[in-house]
Amino acid sequence: MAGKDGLELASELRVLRPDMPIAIITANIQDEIIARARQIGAAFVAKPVRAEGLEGFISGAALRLRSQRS
Amino acid sequence: MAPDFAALAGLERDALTEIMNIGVSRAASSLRKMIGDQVHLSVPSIDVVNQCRVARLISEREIGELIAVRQDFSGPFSGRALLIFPETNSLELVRAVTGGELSAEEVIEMEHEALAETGNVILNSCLATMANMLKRSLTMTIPEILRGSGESLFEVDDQSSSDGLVLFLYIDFAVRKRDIRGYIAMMMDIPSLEILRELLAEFIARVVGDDGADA
Repeated sequence: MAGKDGLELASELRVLRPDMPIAIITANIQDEIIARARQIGAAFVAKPVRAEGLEGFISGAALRLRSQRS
Repeated sequence: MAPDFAALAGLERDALTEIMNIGVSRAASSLRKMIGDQVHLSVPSIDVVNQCRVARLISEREIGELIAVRQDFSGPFSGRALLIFPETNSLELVRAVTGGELSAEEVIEMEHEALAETGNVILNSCLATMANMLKRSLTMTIPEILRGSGESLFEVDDQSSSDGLVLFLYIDFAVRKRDIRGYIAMMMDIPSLEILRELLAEFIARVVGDDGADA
């Protein structure tokens, strides 16, 4: 992406969509990045991505979206 | 003649070696998740050398053309990290990380992206682990693919200070089952090395703790 990184995009999305499940997928496992993801209310999924890494996020997201609909 | 201040010795060297060991183990674990085979790593080799010597260290070991993924890092200290392979090996790595499910043409098409992503994961594993253990943040550039000889990959920067001395760290790695081998290399100039030494001293103090004054 030109001129914007993933965390910036995620924080802008969070403002536009307060309830949308968001995951940050990155190889950058620095503490500061994980903390910022948390601050934004985004899940942190470390690369390399495996099924186990995404499972938690996806089932949490499915649950959240289902409860928003009811 | 290298001035005394540039030498990294004793506890500082041990601490940096240990930090890099941990970072590289994490990188190896990530690579194993990507390819499913065991990755073997050497103990990190750490030296303060002239930048010209760096190119020779690699080209002495590798005669052919090399392919590298490069990421620069900056923050309290800055430098360059590279994941380097002999060019003859690179497609084997691409095949390995793409699970052996692509055709020969697809492997060639995917080469750039697969190598960049593999480099991204491995170099970030090392650098992020180092940053975390030193309790600082580093900014990494987007990975870049380079091809060339050992000389061209480690071209001498005209603006470097301290007579072109750099901290040069490298690790050999191999995936024996697949004839994949390469190097993880990291370089830092002397001003950055000085900052790193301070951070290593803080790290040592944290590890040793309050009652370790005599350690």
